[in-house]
Amino acid sequence: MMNQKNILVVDDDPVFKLIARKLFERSGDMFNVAFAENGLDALQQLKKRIESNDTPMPDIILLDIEMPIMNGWAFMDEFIKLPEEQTKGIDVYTVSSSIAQEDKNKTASYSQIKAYITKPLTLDIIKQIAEAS
Amino acid sequence: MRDRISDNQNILSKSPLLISILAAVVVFVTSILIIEQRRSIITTHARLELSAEMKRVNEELNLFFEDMYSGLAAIARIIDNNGEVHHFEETAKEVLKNNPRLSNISLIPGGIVKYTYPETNEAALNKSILNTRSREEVAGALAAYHSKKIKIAGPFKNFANMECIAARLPVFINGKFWGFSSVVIKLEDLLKATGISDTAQLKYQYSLSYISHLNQKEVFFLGHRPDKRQTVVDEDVPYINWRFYIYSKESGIRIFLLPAILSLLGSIIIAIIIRKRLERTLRLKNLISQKDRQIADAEKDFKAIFDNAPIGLALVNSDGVLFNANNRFISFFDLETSSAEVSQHPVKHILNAIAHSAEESSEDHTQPISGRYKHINTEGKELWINYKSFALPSTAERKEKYVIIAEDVTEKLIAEQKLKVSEKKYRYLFNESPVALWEEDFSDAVKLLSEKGLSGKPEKDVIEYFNKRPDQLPQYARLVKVKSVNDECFRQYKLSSKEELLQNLVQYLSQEPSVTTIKYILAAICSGKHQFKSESSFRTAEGELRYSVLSWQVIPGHEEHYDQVILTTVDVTDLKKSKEDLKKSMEILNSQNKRLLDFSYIVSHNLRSHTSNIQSLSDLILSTESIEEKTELISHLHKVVNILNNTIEGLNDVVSIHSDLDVKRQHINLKAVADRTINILNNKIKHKDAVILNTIPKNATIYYNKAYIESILLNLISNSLKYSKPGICPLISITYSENESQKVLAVSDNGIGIDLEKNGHTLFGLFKTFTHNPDSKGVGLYITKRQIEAMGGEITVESTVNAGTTFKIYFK
Repeated sequence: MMNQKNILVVDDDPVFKLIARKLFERSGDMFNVAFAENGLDALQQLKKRIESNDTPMPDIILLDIEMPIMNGWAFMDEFIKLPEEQTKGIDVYTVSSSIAQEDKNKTASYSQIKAYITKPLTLDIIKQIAEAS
Repeated sequence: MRDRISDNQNILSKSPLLISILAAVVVFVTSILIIEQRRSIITTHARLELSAEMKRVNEELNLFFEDMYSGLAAIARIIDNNGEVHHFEETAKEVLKNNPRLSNISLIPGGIVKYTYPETNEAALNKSILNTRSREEVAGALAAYHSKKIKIAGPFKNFANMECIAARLPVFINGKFWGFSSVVIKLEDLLKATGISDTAQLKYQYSLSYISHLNQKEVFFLGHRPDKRQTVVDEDVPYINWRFYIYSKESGIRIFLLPAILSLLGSIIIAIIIRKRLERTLRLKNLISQKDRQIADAEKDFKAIFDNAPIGLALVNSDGVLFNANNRFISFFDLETSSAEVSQHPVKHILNAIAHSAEESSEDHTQPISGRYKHINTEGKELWINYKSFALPSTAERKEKYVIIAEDVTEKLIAEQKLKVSEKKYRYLFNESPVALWEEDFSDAVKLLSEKGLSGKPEKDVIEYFNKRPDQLPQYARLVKVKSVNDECFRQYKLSSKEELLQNLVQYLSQEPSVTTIKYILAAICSGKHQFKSESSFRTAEGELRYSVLSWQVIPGHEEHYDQVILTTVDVTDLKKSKEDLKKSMEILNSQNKRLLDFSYIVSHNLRSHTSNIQSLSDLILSTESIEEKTELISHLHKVVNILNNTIEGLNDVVSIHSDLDVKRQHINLKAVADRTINILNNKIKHKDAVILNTIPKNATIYYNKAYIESILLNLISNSLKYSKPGICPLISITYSENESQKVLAVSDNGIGIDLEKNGHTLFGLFKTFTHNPDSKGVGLYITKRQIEAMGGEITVESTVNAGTTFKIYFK
């Protein structure tokens, strides 16, 4: 249990969240998964964790781009403003259906984003993420 | 001749001063010799005259002294051997009578005057002559005593104070001194008798002196010692110790020195004159020599020019004898030498023409004649020679000669021919050119620019100058002379002929926008440009504004005066319009392309998100063995498929908007449409317990696509119902306002509102949703915006979170 990775999945699509939960369950006890509805929800959760200090910060964030209220990029702009010592260990992966090159290019402008993952999310990808972290 | 001049010149040039001095010396020496000769003659002549005068005077004097001697002897005889004196007065009287020159007779026994006659000398009685005031008298008496001879002494003043001369005879009786017998004559009488007392009247000057008995020194008692430079004759006077001088009044200075000085001055004057003359001559010689050299140089230059002139030059007489011809002339006419008999030669043709002309105009031979002559040279080549001939005036020594100037104009003629052909071609091309060509003369305008001090100024300064004084431009426009235009010019102005254009051109050019074009041309001229291109515009005869590309070029060789300028104008109005249309089309196309690309990304994203979910759910279903899980997953799969179906339906709506390129419009009553929409949404309104206020005026009409306005109102009102704020009564108002410029329809609600700062930019995007409302598909507002824009209108949104939203539609 000591090696469990804390994962925060940020996506507004309930079906994707269900699928993600199922996939993480199938990958064993490697992951402790939490969910956020959109960028704003995720940001509030992170801030709460920093303030309360009883829940550890996530090791990995899977971030959807297209979301209502606060999209992925807006979240990233706020995320980088958080205290660096709290966020330095967090690897962000963007997960999107978009195949637009513009979105792919944009990931390069944030050093915290490790990779751009195109949906669907698969068990193999989750394993790769686990290995990389 | 020149050499001799040169030699003389050398001598002269050595020193006019020396020559003039030598001449002066010669004149002076000669004068001196002549003067000396003259002086010698004058002197000799004077000496002869003086000697004669001397002789005369001496003779006169001798008479006095002889009287004295005879008187002395006579009176001495009255003294007897005892020393007694007898009959003194009678004897004295007698003696004076016989010797009238004597003035007094005395007997002076023992030196004391005892007897004297006449009594006028009584003052001397009983006085001693050896003790008188006059020491000379005393010395004379003593000399007589000692010499025992008669001694004449004087002049001195006697006791009666009279200037006199006295003669004393010592008388010895029986060897014993008795005394003196004495006679006296007045000096005045003597001088008067000899005629030497009044010297002023005489041409000679006299001097008399005596040798003092006391000290033997010469003492002058008449006149003074003569000047040695004067001509003098002198002689001792007999009987007396006198010396007599006679000399000419004319001094040596007058005879010699004055003429000598005059001759010296004369010599100097002569020297100066000679020097001036010589110098003038020398200057003239130098000038002549200089002119000589210049003439020689000019001759040389002329010869060189003559020989190497690019035109043929020859000198002939009317008989056809060639005196001289230059190289060009010789080569023109294949002559062998520059001097030849040309009577049988083609040159004779020209001579004949000259002779013919001379006959016609016998009065003026020097009138030049000219002509053209075709000459076939030895190589058989045809040469065209232009000649000009004129006669040199004949003189007594010289027969009439003719100068022939010949020029080979063959190449010029060929060139002219070519030029004519090329001119013809140029004119043809000029007239037939599809481009409007204007041949213009800007020289007067350039002059005015120069007068105004604008020449040489930078373009921007000139443009600024005219921007401040636009009223000056028509004046410049009028100064531009249009020399020629081609057919395209009048076609551009929509006129029917060149004449019509040229008639009205001044009017066209001196008004906008042509004056603006002229302003830029003037600025280019001032900055020294000879060509430029610019966009321009003009108004046709009908007043239509047309755009053109203008090219302005000064013809080479006319850069100084700008008097030959070609201006081309190409009407690009249609081209410009086509370009603008094309540009607009391109913009629309680009915009549509972008929209299409965005649309494709959006569609791709949305479809992929569903299909990837389907794929994932399928994989999970296949990989699970649990029936419950399979059932759960399948229900989810069913939902996803439904959502996908909805999305595709929405896409159909969107695509139908994009494909309706030519939608029909009609006049629509807006209030009626709004009422109908409210009616359609009646169930939902009731469900939400909402209040709808339709305040659109009854007569409000728009020219619009019916389906679009229905769709727009349906979308906006259903959105207001959909995003109503929980807990309060939804209030939706539909209002309309209209003024001259626009018609506005507004749909307002008191719903949850939209955070425009965060979501404003994606509000009208496809598949953009901001709430968790399950009915949100993200298609409605996208379609609404597209429909409004397709009708040429605009949609705006105002919203406050938790307060409400207002959408405004601006109809075109």
